[in-house]
Amino acid sequence: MRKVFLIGFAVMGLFVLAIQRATASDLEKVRVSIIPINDVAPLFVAMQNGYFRELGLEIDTTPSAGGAAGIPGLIGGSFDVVYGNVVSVLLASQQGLDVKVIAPGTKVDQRETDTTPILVRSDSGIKSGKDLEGKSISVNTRNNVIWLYARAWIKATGGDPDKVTFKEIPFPQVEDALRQQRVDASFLVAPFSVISRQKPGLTAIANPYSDIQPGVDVGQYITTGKLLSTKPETIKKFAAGLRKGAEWFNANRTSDAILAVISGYTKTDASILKSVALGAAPLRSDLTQVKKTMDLMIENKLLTGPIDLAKIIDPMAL
Amino acid sequence: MSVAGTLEGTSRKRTAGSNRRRLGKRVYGVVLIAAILLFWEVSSRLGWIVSAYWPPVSQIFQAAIVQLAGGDILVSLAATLRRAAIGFAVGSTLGVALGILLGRSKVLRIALLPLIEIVRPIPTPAVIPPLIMFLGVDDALKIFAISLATFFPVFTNTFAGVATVDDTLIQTARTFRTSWARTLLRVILPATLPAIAAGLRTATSLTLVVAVVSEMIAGSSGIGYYLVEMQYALRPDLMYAAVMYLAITGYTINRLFLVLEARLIPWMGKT
Amino acid sequence: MGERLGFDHVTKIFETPGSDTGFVAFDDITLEAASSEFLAIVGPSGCGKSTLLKMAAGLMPPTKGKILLDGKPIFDPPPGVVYLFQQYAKSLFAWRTVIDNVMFPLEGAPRHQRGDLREMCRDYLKQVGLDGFEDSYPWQLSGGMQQRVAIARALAADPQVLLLDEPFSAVDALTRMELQTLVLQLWERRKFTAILVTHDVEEAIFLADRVAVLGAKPTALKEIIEVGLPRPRDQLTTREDPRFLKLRHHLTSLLLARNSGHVAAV
Repeated sequence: MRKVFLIGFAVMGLFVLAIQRATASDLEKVRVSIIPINDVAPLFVAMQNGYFRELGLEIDTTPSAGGAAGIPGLIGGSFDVVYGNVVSVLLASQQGLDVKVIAPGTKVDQRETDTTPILVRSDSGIKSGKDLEGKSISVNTRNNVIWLYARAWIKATGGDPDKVTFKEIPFPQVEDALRQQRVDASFLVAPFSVISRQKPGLTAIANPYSDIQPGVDVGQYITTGKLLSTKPETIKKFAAGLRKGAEWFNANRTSDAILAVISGYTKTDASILKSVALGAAPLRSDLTQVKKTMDLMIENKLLTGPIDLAKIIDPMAL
Repeated sequence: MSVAGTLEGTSRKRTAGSNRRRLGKRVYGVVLIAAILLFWEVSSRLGWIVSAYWPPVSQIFQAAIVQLAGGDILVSLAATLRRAAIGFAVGSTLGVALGILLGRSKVLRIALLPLIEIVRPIPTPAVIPPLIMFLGVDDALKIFAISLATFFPVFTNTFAGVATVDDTLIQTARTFRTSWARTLLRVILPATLPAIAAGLRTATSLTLVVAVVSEMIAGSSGIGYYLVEMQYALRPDLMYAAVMYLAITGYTINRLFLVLEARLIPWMGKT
Repeated sequence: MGERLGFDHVTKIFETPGSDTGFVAFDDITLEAASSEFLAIVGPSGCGKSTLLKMAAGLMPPTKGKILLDGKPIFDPPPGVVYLFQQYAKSLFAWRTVIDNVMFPLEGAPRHQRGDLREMCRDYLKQVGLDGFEDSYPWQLSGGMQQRVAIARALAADPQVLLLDEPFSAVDALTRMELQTLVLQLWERRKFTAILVTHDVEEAIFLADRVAVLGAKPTALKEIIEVGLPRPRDQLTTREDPRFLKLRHHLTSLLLARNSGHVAAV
């Protein structure tokens, strides 16, 4: 009897040892939390083109599917840099968390490359925020950037956001929810927004980002003030490598090479990616755009008052 | 001799008869599963259900088979099982130890039971997001969450099991002047084993659930992460293939557990 | 030679919620089993005979008075005093084989002696007629066989005093007689002191040198009777002995009188 136990434990032990792998390297490791979407392509370009290695850095990316673990993980010390959206950053700052924007991530400034529409069923007759009153709209998470701009769009098109029901539905499930009439409208991102329109029945009625605030800085790379003061060189190198990646990305964003990069980390089929237009990657954060977002947040009671943006956005991002 | 002989004889006879019956029952179960799978295949092929997340079953099986030859699913599954195994070991060891100690010591019971009772009703997935701040998003977090989820059913069953250990057994040990520690290890622990096994069995399924959920919430490896990743990557065939492997794993673990239980605790339900 | 075991002015009071005085189980009992004597204590069911025996085993302290082993008071289970429980099934370790159950009292011994001790235990099993069942589990055995295991285990503890708590009440009549004979044989061979608690008058007379009768509540000692039947005793001849029948008549009437509420003096 005891033998069975012992053998069981031994097998378990070997199993554990076999899976644990050790890594060793002379390069300085930077742990980055990402969301596996098109927006972080410049980071992966920079990694694959060796820009970070040239600067003595090794990038270790941790994809977080929903992005929920990003900022808590940054504060908890699991990550050095986190890709996060502008609303999360401002919210974290209001809560007294020590976050600093070190590089821009995503900017929506051209309507033709804005792949984040509001979708409705084609036969629903919904065209504006006014039409949505008494109906429902889905966002991936409440109180985030998607939610904020969905509210702003409803208001801008004559509706009262408080009269619209907001439902939380993860992006991959949105198409089914719309078609099965479990929700009336959805604010959706790529590639889902593109895929879901390949079959008839769904129509895009608006692009809230480019409609409400063309040029909005949606995503940023952030770190903590503590890291910025203890390892300023590392962070600076990271930002430099990333910018180089963004430049290469902008020069090649219509090529197939970029599709291969994105397909590599999103695991999405290149044929699907091909149908999604890629916007240019921003090289600099835009303070006025962030301020506009901040004002919207105050208006929607996400923020209790203005925040000193100069303290959150490090000069290296500008 | 004759007693043992008869017992064996009857039990052998019973197995032979019920095997045939069980086989008959099993056929119905298989038929039902086959019918559901067929309906799935047809509903997808004929477009009864229009969804990017409703691939034909045949496509899922194909993906699952391709994965066997080398793919992320098995690697992810191994990562999940590794965490689940460590968390299970930690949680169940603590559960058994504390269950027995608290069951036998009034002082410890008064000191620790209120805390355990307060923490117990909290669903483990709910504590994962706040724990990220303290434990990060890697193994520490997940193993902690898995241990926590394992701990409670094991502790509760052990604790209750200790209470039902017959006083006669403990008095027997006392009349033979057995020490407190020896009584715990050689009398109370084995006497509680059937209850502990019940707790462990409940825990195994929870362990896998929490392992997967924690990977879905945070981190970048394991079958839970893989599921979400494939969902976002628009690869439902791989997603369902992963679910399938998960189901097989869960089933196998449960069967294995029952076999181990029968071998290691043959007196279960016999006293 | 077995050791003397005595009750010295023993009173046992159980605290009961809502009562200041508590429930008096025994009041001022003084009784001693002499060295190597077989003493039986009879009383109707529910008079607390087991409590008396548990105090004798050191499992439960008396409220007043002392338990004396060879004249010295005991507080915890003393060495050499072995208890044979009525619920043999609950007193055996279900996860241990028969031989490992018998080995239990000896497991404190140094490792190198274990082999010899195991041989000894096999011999005890042979003495109780369980030759060949060493590797069975208790739950594979009949009730009478299980109690035999418990008896073998008691022998392994080298008893100076064996306390028997209605040990044969849960088996059928035929098995009971076999076990009684077995215990008598072992007692005659090993010369330990035996205290038997039972509600079975015939059993008490058949086994014991003296029979103590417990009386009304709170339970007190009512009478002690010398049995005086010749040994070795036999299930057939002893039970047919006119003296046996006379003693049975006397003891039974004592117990019946108590049950009907009269305290009859003889």
